[in-house]
Amino acid sequence: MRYVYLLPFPLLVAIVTLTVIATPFRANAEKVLQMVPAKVFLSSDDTLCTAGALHIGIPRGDKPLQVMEGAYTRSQRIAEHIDPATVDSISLWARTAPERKHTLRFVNGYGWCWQLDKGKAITVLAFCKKGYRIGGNGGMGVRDKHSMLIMKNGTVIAKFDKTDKNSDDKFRKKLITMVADDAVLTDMIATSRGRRDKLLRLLSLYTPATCSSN
Amino acid sequence: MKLRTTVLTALLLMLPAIRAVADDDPESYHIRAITFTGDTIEGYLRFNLKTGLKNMFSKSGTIHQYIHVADSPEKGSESQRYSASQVREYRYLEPTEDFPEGAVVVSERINSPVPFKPNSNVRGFAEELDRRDCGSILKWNVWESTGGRNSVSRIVPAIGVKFKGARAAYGIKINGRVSLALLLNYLKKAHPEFRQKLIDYYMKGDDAKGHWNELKDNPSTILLVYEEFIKDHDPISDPEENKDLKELTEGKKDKKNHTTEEPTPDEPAE
Repeated sequence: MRYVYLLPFPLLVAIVTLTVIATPFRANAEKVLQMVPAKVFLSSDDTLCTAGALHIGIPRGDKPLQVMEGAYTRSQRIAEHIDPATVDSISLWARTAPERKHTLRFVNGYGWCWQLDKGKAITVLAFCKKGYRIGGNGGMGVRDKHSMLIMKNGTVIAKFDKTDKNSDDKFRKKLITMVADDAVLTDMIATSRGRRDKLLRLLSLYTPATCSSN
Repeated sequence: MKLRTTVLTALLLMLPAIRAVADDDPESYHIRAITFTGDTIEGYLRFNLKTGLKNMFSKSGTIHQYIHVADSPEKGSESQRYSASQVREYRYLEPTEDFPEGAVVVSERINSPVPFKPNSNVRGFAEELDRRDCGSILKWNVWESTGGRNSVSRIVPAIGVKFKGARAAYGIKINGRVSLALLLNYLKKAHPEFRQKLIDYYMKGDDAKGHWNELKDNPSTILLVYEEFIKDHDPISDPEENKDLKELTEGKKDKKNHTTEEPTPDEPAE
């Protein structure tokens, strides 16, 4: 009796088939950037505090926030995904430098932004689509090219790219128009020289005329 | 091809200095340096061709051993070259988000292995990423070859750890890949107990892979392991650590560098 194999190397084909079928059931292969301890402030005034082995994956772009369980252990897994729209802000830090905290906010139309300065009326943020990283000393940085956003009263009023360039008169005039009613700040901007990002961060000192008169 | 590679390498090694000069903001390379004799030097880092070439053709072509400091950012101002044997550390005065107190570059003995001499080290400048009581995390550049038939060498960043009491800083992460081989090789004789602790923490045990990933994300965590270890054990104490420090703190003149008002190297140490 002759046996006719329908498929070549049936054992090999069986192994490959089983591997392909089992692929959807593998452990979650979602990419997680650096995991850090954090405090998540939700829009509903609730606070999600991570302590011990509960960390978050530093969010990037407009992706949901990943809450990790058992970070950097054998039982590490993504415990929960939080919709960015429900998050008011995140305060995060490095395990080796808990005294140095940074704030991330989700801005509609852009994504997760790093809050650099928050003033009475203007907030200065940095947005990098590829995400952020925290060093061992607690310092924070961007992973790729970034833009700086100026937010006034909850709305993004300006976006600046290539902020490591030197400022020029045209740039300074544009900033002055945003804070025209603050005479002290406009003088400071007009006489300042240096990189654009430094001038942009000055905007957080803006005090609206109505506030200063009170 | 070789000439082109050499020229490109020279330009690459001068890159940090070029960036400092090309940046129109002089405050971005305003530094304050502290020498081994305790003097303070304030000035501006400047690109200098001779200094760049000395760095390239020094003992280790990637580990900077010289800096050039000018009194003011204007062209033509007085400037002087300093070596890693003279300057203990220099700090950038402009704070950044990465380094709110200003980035620090320290002079340290850095492991620079050569064939048959894995513990060979050279004194040079390395950027200090983190500093704790028990040690610091440093960053410098090294050559990496792709291997194979058409091997290409390129300069990549290396992050290493300098434990207090250790002879030199040893690389633990080269071009994003963690490797404790050089550090474990040094600890074989320097501190076998701590070596075993590192092996148990990063290579054995259920959570070893997680700890390894954490080391990759945050190299400073190895300092936390060492801090925990020395609570119950003796710290690393290598008599070679301060081998050249005596001469440096007494301000002995380095034959290859330009210094003034310092004793000749032939004078015996007091």
